[in-house]
Amino acid sequence: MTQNIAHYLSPMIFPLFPEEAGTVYIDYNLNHIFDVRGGGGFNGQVTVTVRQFVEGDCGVDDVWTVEVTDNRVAQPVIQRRLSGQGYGYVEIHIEADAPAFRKILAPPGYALLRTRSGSAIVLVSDQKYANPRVVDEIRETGTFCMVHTAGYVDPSTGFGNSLLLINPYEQTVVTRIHGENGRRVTERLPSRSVRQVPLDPVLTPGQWGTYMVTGNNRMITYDIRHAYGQPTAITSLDHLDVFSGMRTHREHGAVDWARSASRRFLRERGLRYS
Amino acid sequence: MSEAVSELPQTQPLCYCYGITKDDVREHFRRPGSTYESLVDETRIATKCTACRLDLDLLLSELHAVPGGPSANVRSPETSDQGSGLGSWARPQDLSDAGFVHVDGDITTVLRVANQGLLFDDTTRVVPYKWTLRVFTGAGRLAAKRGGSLAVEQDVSIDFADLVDPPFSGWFLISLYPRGEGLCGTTRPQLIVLGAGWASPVHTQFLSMACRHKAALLFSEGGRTGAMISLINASRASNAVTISLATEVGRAVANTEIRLVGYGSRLANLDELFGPLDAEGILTVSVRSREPVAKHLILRNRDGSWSQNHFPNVK
Repeated sequence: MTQNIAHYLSPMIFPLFPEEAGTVYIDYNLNHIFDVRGGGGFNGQVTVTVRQFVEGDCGVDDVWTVEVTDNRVAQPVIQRRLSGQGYGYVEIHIEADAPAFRKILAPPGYALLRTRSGSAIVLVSDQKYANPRVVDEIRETGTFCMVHTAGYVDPSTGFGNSLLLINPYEQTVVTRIHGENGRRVTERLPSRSVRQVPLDPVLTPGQWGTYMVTGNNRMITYDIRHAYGQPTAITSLDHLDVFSGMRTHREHGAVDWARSASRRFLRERGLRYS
Repeated sequence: MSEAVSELPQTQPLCYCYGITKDDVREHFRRPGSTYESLVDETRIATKCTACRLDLDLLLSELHAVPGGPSANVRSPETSDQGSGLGSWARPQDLSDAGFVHVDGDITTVLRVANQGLLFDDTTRVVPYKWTLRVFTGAGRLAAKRGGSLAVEQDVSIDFADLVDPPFSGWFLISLYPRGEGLCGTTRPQLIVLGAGWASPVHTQFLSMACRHKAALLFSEGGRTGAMISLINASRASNAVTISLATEVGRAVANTEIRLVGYGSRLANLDELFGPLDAEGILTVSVRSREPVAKHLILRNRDGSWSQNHFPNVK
């Protein structure tokens, strides 16, 4: 039986949008957390806190406690329908009264942005603290840097691209958005604020481009595609990736080396691809 | 900065503003009921100049380090026998990502790989790559193959409309092989579906991350979801895939089975598969298969644009 080591999960962050962009539907199942994070059969209480921040203010602070019996919650679904109050974010904290989880990372939550035109766009939550990819990146490169390699704007054909920046922390973050050819934009993000920043200044119209986001603290970032000049006419939303601190080479044992070499040999000859 | 964290003497402040040491943080987490928030509330660590926050994240990951813990998450799926006792050496990671290809009418699919160092620091250790791209039909047959080199600060954008004859529905496998030692950097490929005036990008997924069960959310209105699921059979054996829809409270709404040939794929249109649904609002879509399947959820918007995402990665 796997040992539980943590009695809380790193808070999850979901973005919120102004009314004209649509409504965010959040449905998160607590039993799913115990399915993938619960070690031994946990019995106890879990406190769920849902905080909604809009334009820097905490608009809703909702706290409740549920009983957990053998990793099962009777009414497990956290459900929210949120719209109309401007740019913001929802922060969901989950804490147990004793060690209940094998890792502090919450399984990613999926939500939907239901636009006013009736479209549905998938939103994936991010971690407030201790995102392992960010931790590894900082360990390897000494810096926080988020990347998107397929930035694209084109006023002539209606392509718009912007960046959503969320600062869920206590202090102002000064962030820089870097494009290729040395172009960059600086943005100040006050505590608990959200900004949607157009990427026109760092991208060349009609050309794919890479952009990177750095700051004096980490932050939550999303890439947004929308009609040009209409940042809330959203058609797609994607998370950025870290500048990967994963090494191209790793120490491996002989068995693993042989397995990998065999896999590559078979793939190169069209014999086996997986 | 970050390398220094583990080397700090235990009594040296981690947060200089409030004089909080690593030991103070460790001690806090030894107490039952302690959380990151309670640490911040009690000590005010990381709330003044905030310079220590990234280091605090690293320390937090150390405190919760267990075999297979957080930092293990970013390792290649091919690192299973580290420390096997048979001797070890540095081996290039051979990464293969997969994604669907859809070329039809005014919609095309583009694959983009960029090999940039940090744009603000030219000392980053990124390296050239060799790449090989294979495109497969939905029936699992090889339709096209391309390859090339990807130098540092170079990128490659491939419009699949240039490789296959429309209409085409299939999938691709791109393999990246490093030509030196460094960091992977920005080389995770992007798959972009392009239409008239819209673009929908998503990161590709390692084919080795294909799995037998995943679930996600979609929205039903007027009995229709506008959803499609991209299914790529990662096995050379034929495969049976079951797609199920259920309400938030678990009431079954519909399910169907799809057969895939070895290395075959399908872009499954749920409205065509299920017809009008007798459920409205948020639904859970669950995909189960006998063999591992790589899958993406695609939601078609009313203006004709697509939004897409991979199913949740849970590690």
